[in-house]
Amino acid sequence: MAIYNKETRLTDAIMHHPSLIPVVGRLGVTLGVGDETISSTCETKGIDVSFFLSIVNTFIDEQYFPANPQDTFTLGKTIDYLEKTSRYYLQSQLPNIERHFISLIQKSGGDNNLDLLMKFFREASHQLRESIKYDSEILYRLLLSGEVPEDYEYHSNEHSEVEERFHDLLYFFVAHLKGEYDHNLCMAVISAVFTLEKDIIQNNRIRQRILQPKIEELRSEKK
Amino acid sequence: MNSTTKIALIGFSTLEVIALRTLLQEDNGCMTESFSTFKEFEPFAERMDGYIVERGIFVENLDFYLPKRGRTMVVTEGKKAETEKNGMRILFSGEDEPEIKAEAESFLKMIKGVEISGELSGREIEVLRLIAKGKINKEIADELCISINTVITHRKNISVKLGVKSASGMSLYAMMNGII
Repeated sequence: MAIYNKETRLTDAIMHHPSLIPVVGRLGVTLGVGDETISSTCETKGIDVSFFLSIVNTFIDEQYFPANPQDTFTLGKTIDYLEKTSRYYLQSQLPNIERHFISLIQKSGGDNNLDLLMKFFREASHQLRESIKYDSEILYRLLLSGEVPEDYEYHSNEHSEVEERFHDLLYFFVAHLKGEYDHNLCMAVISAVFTLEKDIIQNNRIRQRILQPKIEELRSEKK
Repeated sequence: MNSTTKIALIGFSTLEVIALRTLLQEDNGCMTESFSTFKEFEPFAERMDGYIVERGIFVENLDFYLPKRGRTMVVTEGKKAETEKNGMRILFSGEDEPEIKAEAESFLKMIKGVEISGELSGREIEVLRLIAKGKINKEIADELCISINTVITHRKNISVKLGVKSASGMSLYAMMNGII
C-alpha cells in the first residue's frame, strides 16, 4: 500500500522524508509548498498526480510497487524524470563530493590513505558518468523512438555496479580510513556520498519498477 | 569480528528456559533471550543468530523456520527417532544428558559456522588476487580449474567477509592489505 496519497499534505511528506526534496524538484515542485495537499499542488503545477505519487512512493518505500505503470505513465514522463535525476548527479552531487574531497585531502596532510579513496571515488564517478551517458545518448533516445537497444541488459547491470561502488566507498571510509584527517570535511564527504548512494539506490528502484515495465512492453510489441 | 552469539528461545516454560540457558552458556559465550510466543519473538528475529523453538510453535510457523534451518533447533519430547525431517536439527528432551549436551554443542557450532569468521581462506585469497587483476568469473574458473558456480560462491563469501560489494572495492581492499 502506498505511504502517501492525494490527500497527504506535501509538507508532511517532505518533512518526514527530506530526501524527497530533490525528487519533488525533478517532478516540477519547488520548495515553499505551503499547506497544500499533493493533489492540489500537482493541479496547480500541471503535474500528473498519479505519476507524482508513484515516483514519490517508489522512492521512499522498498515495499511499494506502482500499479500497472505500463498503462498509466508515458515513457516520456518517466525518461524526463530520470534525465533530471542524472543532471542532478552530474551538475550537483558529483562536483559537490569532488570539491569536498579535494578540500579534505588538502586540509588533512599526507599521512593517510585518502588519496586511494579519492582514486576509488573518481573511478566510481567515471562509471556513473558513463552509464548516464549511455542512458541519455543511446537508451532513452532509442526507447523514445520505440526501440530497445540490444545491449540493454549489460548496461543495466552497470547500474547496480555503480550502486555497489558507492556503497564500498562509504565502507572504506568507515572501516579502513587510516591516519590523520580533518573531521569536519570528512563528515562533509561522507554525508554527500551517503546522500548520493541512497539516491542512486532509490532511483534504480524507479528504473526497475516504472521504466522496466515500459521496456518489457516495447519488447513484447516488437515480437 | 563477532561478539556474542545471540540465541532466541521461543515458547518454553521458565524451567525449560533455565535448563536451556545452562546448557548453552556453559562455555560458549552466547546470550539467550526468551520469548513466550512467536508473535512476541518476531520483531526481534532479525537480531538473533540462532533460534531454539518449541515443537508446537515450530509447526505453526514452518514458513518462518524452514528457510532458516541452518540456524534453528526444535525441541521436542521423547527420544531420538530415525529421521530428522527437512534436515531440521532436533533436540529430544527425553534423551540422556550426554546426548543433549552434544546436540546443543553441535547446534552452537553450526550457527557459529554460519556467522562469518572475517578471515579469507587460502582459496578465497587466490580468487581475490585474480579479481584484483581484473579477471572475470570465467577466466578465474579456468585458471583455478573450478566451476563458475564455485567462483561465484567464493566471490559472495569474500564480499560478505570484507564488507565490500563491487569488484573494484575488492581490488582496493587487496591493495590496501598487501594481498596484491
